[in-house]
Amino acid sequence: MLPLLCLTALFAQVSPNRIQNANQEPHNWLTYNGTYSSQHNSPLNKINRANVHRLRLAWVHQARSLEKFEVTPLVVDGVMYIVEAPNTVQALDASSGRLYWTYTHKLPEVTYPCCGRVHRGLAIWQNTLYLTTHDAKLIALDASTGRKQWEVTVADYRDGYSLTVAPLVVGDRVILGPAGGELGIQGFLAAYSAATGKLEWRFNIIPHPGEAGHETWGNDSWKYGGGSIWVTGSYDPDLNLTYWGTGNPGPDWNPSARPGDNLYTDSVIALDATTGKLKWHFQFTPHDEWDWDAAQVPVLADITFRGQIRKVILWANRNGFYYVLDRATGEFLFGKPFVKQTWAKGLDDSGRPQKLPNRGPSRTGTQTWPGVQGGTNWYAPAYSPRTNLFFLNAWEDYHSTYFTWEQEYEKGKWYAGGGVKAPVPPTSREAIVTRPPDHGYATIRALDPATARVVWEHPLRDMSESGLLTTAGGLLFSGSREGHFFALDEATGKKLWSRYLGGQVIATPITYQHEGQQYIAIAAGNSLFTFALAD
Amino acid sequence: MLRFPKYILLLGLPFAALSQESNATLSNPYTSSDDIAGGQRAFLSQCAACHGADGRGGNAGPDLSVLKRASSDESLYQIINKGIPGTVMPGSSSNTSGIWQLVAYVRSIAANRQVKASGNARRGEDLYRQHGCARCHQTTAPELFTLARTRSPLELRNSILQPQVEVGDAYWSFRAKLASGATVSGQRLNEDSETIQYRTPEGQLRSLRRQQIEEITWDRTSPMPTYADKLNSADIDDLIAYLLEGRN
Repeated sequence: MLPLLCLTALFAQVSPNRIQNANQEPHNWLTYNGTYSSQHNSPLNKINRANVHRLRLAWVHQARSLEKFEVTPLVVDGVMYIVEAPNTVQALDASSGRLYWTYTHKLPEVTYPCCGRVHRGLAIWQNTLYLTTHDAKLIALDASTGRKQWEVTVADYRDGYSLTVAPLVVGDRVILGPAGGELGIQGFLAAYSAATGKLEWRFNIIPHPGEAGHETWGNDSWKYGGGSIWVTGSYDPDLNLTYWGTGNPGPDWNPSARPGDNLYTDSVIALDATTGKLKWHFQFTPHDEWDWDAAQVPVLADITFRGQIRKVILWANRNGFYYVLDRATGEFLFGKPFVKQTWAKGLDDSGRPQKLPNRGPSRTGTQTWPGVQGGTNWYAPAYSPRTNLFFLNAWEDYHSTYFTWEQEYEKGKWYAGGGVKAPVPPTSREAIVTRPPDHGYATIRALDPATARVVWEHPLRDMSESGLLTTAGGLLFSGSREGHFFALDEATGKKLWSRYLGGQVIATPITYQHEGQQYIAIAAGNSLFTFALAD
Repeated sequence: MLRFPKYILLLGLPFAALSQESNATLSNPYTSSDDIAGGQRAFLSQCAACHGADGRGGNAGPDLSVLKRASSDESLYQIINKGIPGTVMPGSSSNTSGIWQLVAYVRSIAANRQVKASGNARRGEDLYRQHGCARCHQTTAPELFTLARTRSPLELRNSILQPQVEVGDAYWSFRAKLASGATVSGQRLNEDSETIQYRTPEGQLRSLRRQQIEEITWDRTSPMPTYADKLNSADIDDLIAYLLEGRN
């Protein structure tokens, strides 16, 4: 026992205090979104505008998995932790890429992911890593050894539940929720004891009978209402509120099966992190007809809004509108389309969309902008306090044709009530791209966060599902479905550096520092690439 | 120990016979009209969101009337059962008979495209040679037997008579004036935010960086001439019959 005890004693403990103050140790990347405010903004500046042209490959980790590689790594004191989809955890030396250990959770032959057996990452607390699994388990692993400490069943995967999200640790709790919005689940957010795995609270995103919001589901439709969680939320320690974006209602494209607003789908929910009680909510797309999950990263920032410093959430939603909300109260402060949209006349004073008639799915198909993947989606935006700019990856001039049909719920089966045609594939890269740009294109936009004015933009030829990272070096890193990974000047959008990685970027870049060297890491294709300055 | 796919055992087939005939593939035991109807119901709930209600392609899934991966019922069964790793195509949760019914329905989608043309395919083959179709269509122009898999006889007829009406974006060409003063042109093969890949009129493969380009003009029309003055209606029927025979 002695060697193991020594190992544990030597290993750095990631305390709740360290996670809360993650911005004070920018050489690490301690949570999925980097810090609780989820700005994807790093104070590291060794790589900067003046020297980014010297950025070179440091190492590559080639995954054995052929699934889409959506992971955002964690980095703790020189050790990187990643998940190879579906459920293999690996610890690597962050400066060489060499493996320390690997852990594979064996899945049943059939699980029920909606959109590929993807996984987005881990959480850490003290010396424990938390893995969510496609068979809806939460597994605690010893970060030193990769050995399982405990596992709990979060939901019955045979009912269509799966877990793809990186959990969020707040205090001594691990917070997460299930995916399955296309399989008739009843979504929820839950907190487990980080030490023991005991369930501490659970908030029903689809309210059960007797709970507030249940009345927004007609005809017992709440039973299969969806409301999934698949992107990690944020946390404000001063308010003790944790913010999460919720998924679409089901069946996706047969809204007549679920009369009402369908709370709390397509919403941001602000919960007391200790009790799980709802403090406020804001629903972006009441009675969604298009599958526009609010599965975006909630970006917390303190900005000047109409002459006053306000604590806000900045939110570019899949429905094509950009929102500014007061994060203490949920008050709607501002909203405006950020891409072409044809489904709403605008937003009313409360932020509720003023829907136009006949823009939802139909038997013969209805062409509506934005398309099913939305004006943006799950990949992280970024906020730079240096330039006071909000950066996002927008899908401009992009539409789909939405169809509806009747469908009975069957346990464990797709329950979408319709289908979609779009000229652009939703999540897979095309080997050859010749389609006209008027079928839609991605563009990285820098917005004034208070007004949504476009300060600059960097259009791409194809779509992109890459997140964004801004650094104190004055740089904005992102990638593309095309396989490019690049650095822009965060103030002007000018491209300063680019490398072709040969596989689609469908992840968010991070930065970290080890032994004096700053690194930038990004998953692309089936590999993880890490860059550093050439000597 | 030899391992057999689980459905061979589930079906109770004499696997000794199968194992001796290694080239044999299983054919679908569930092909009645009731099976196809059952497959269609399952398709609507499990597959249509991606492949479209009619199976002709949709948001994320390809057109199933032109199956590229599944040459046999057995391989189609495997794809539906296991999914395709690295794509959004999941394995089905249906049981064995349910998957076979899906196979039957998907085959019926493809079968519905197997229209026969009224012309004389042998005469069409002569016309194909006589008019030198292969000169372009086996080099830079679309390969006609592949094209015929996704086109109706009427669409093929229109393409022969009025080739300018429709040219797919994969066949656009361009002429670009470069900052160096040079001019280049060719058929665009692929492009992204930084580069364009193309084939020169001489058949060379080239890649151009967008930053080299000063001005670019696109030609979305086809270089194919009309055959309205060279082929009569019966000739076109014969030619289409030959193309459809080739695709089938």
